[in-house]
Amino acid sequence: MDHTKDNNELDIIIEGGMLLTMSDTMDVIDNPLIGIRDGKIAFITRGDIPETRSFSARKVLSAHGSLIMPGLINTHTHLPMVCFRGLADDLPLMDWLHNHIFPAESKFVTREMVYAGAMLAIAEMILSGTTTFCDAYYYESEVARAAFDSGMRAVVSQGFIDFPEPTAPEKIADIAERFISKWQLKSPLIIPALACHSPYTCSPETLTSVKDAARKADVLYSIHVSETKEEVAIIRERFGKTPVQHLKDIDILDDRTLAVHCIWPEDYEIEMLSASNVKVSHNPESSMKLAAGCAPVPIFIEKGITVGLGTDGGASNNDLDMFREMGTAAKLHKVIQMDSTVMDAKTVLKMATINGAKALGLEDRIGSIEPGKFADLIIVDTKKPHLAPMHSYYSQLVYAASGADVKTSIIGGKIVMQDRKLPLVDLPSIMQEVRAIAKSIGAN
Amino acid sequence: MDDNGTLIKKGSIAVDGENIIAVGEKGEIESRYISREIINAEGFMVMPGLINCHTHAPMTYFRGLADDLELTDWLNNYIFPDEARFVNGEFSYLWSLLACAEMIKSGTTTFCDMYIFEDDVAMAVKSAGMRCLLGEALFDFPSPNFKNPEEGLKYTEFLIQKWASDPLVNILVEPHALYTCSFNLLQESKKLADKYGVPLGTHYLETKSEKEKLAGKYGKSPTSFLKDIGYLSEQFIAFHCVYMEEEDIRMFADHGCKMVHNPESNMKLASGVASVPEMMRAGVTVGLGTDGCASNNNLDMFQEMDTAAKLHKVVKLDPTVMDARTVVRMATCQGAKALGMENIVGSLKAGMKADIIVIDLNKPHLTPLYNEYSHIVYAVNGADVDTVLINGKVVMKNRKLLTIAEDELMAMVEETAIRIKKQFGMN
Repeated sequence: MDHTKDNNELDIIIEGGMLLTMSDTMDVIDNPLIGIRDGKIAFITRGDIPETRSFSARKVLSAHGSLIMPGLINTHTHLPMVCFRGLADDLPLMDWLHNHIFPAESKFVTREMVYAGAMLAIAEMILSGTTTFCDAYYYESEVARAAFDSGMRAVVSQGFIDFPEPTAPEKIADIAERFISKWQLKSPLIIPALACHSPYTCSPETLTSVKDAARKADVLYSIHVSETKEEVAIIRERFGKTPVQHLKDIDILDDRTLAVHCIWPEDYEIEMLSASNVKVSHNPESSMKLAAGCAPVPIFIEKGITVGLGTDGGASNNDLDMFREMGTAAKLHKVIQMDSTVMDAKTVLKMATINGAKALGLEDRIGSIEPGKFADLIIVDTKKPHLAPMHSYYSQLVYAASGADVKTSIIGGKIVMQDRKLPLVDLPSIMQEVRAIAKSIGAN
Repeated sequence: MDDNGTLIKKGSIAVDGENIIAVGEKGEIESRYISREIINAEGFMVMPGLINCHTHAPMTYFRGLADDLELTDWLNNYIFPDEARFVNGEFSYLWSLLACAEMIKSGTTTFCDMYIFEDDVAMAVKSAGMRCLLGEALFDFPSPNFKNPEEGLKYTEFLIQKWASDPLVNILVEPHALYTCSFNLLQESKKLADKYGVPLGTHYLETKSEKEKLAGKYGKSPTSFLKDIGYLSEQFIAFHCVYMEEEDIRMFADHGCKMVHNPESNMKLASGVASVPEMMRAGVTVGLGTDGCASNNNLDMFQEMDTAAKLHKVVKLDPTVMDARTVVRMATCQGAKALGMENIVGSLKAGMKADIIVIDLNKPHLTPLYNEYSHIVYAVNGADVDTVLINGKVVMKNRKLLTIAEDELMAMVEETAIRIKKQFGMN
């Protein structure tokens, strides 16, 4: 298409700045002109070509002196857990879970809490440059509703766990189908999915019934796997094998499975993940804070496994800032492997953008800024002392920037943040609501 | 951050001149004092300014210039040659001023610096209104600032004398490291520090290769060597200490030596992980630092706290080590102690200098609030700091720097970076 002869009015034009496309060829375009129409990138061109200036748009955004890049993709969250942020830290994992988190959840998780918590988390994510998240929690439809209301793109997973008791296979199929059909055609923003909590909290019957439903509907299936040494020991004791092997033997592994954490896989399990084209979600800060361990991500990447980045829930991080997560991901593996060349800045930025999209099966729609893709992008203000001088864009974004440097965010062609203001979220009332919930839990 | 870890809700701090004269309940303070200026911190958190115990401030220029390289490649092919080519006094001044702007904007009020042309660094610090402890990096080979170590020592003595009565700038003697300093330079450094009663700081056991290099050098462990030349004392500050054995830790504890932990730099350069929980258990005072910008790549002490808290948990596979309060202490009162400044900064109580930061809690990522220490370590970011006082003077208000013309500075660093690139044909 010769876009210069296209007379249709655009919704938004972004002009100026430096565009990091994160395309296959990692194109970087100085002083670009980006046209957005009907929620998608209509074209990208150089801003200094005169005839391109004949476009008209309802809204013109200047990105001069800023970086434009794809919105970040957080591949693993439990959004409403921001309500428990800082409730209990620095405790042994089982103590933390069984004496603090689980009791708080059983007592305080309601539809209202899930919606309010998800809204607060979405506000935090937009303010720190995330445009898509992949979530699993109780009352997940409330999370979907919060995403829809706030203009956020979300993979929302109906979760299953054999607690307090297992769900019958027929019932699983029914719940899964109802959830998927409820959200499937609602909006391009909402992508339904299914999740099982883990191989140690779900029986093989539950795991396979949910996977069957996911295959039938062709949706993403995510599962926490091999997060702790304790989990590996439990699975060994129950099934006489390691967790990934166990999942392979019951036919869970395929290219629509997102294995979350994957901290303790054996070499042969890494081969299985690679051979089945399973995707991995890496959550370094949560795994550090909970002392779960460090996933062998450089090896995953070497074996061709697609790895996305995630923050995990707000209670084990304790923020949802993907910029800080990138900084940690880049540094952690260097010191663990004692090799300062692993996980270079570009690799890590890919994890948080295009490879995150691949991990969720959305790479045809998001993860890079290219014509035809959804206009999910962020503008990062680099005129700040901690981002000067600008020797390398990738390095600055991974090692020096933080979420607070994101100035503007667009999701599906809609401005969800401009100059750090959120037009679609009533922030004061959401914060007040969450504070009231937290007060009943025991906050100050 | 006093010894009892006192938290005051609806508190108030009375500042007179440079000093905190009273800390207490709002009503009580208000009934006792009248003030020319009142900073309302309702809905905010007020805490001591953070203390960054190890920096190379002018290295902001090198931020992002070369990353993800093998350490010796990075140093020998990028950092050292560039430093030799274009570092001068003007360079150290400008890029230190940028460092000060960044540090104030992320809540740091005091830092301990080592670089070349430190007099220029001191002048930048002075104009930014920050507090510092700094020294010229001393080593055997020529630096852009001195032809030989003798000149370096003389320059250090000049710094000590020049800044002796300054309220904000403090000087220490800083031999760069054991592997870059001769026996003689180490001894002369010690003599100079003793002559003026100033601290002595050095990079120590940062990498495995350094440890291996030093192993055969003295016919004894490097810590025993330091002991024999009189280094081990309360005035000795060792940066990094990644490769300390149990015996080294015990000797540090016995002599009251100070250790500075720089987790993000040690991670990024793949140096290793210092045994900080063991050192603390042994009674060693541990401060926190970012190290230079080129190996971090920012000077945000909130992020550094977060990393410090998490790194040791995963390395030890124990989520209870380095709890949030311990880490906040490292960045405040313990950091002050590491620099020998615990009687003037690091906690908010009557008699201390008024180095205070005010954090805006009215943000989604800081909601809700269950535990203040947890928030500071695991959720607050440098950009959440709203207002900063140093030595009783407001240096940032509502995120606007009052001592530095930020826009002009940003324009100047951008221009200078382009000029250096052109002049020296880099990249």
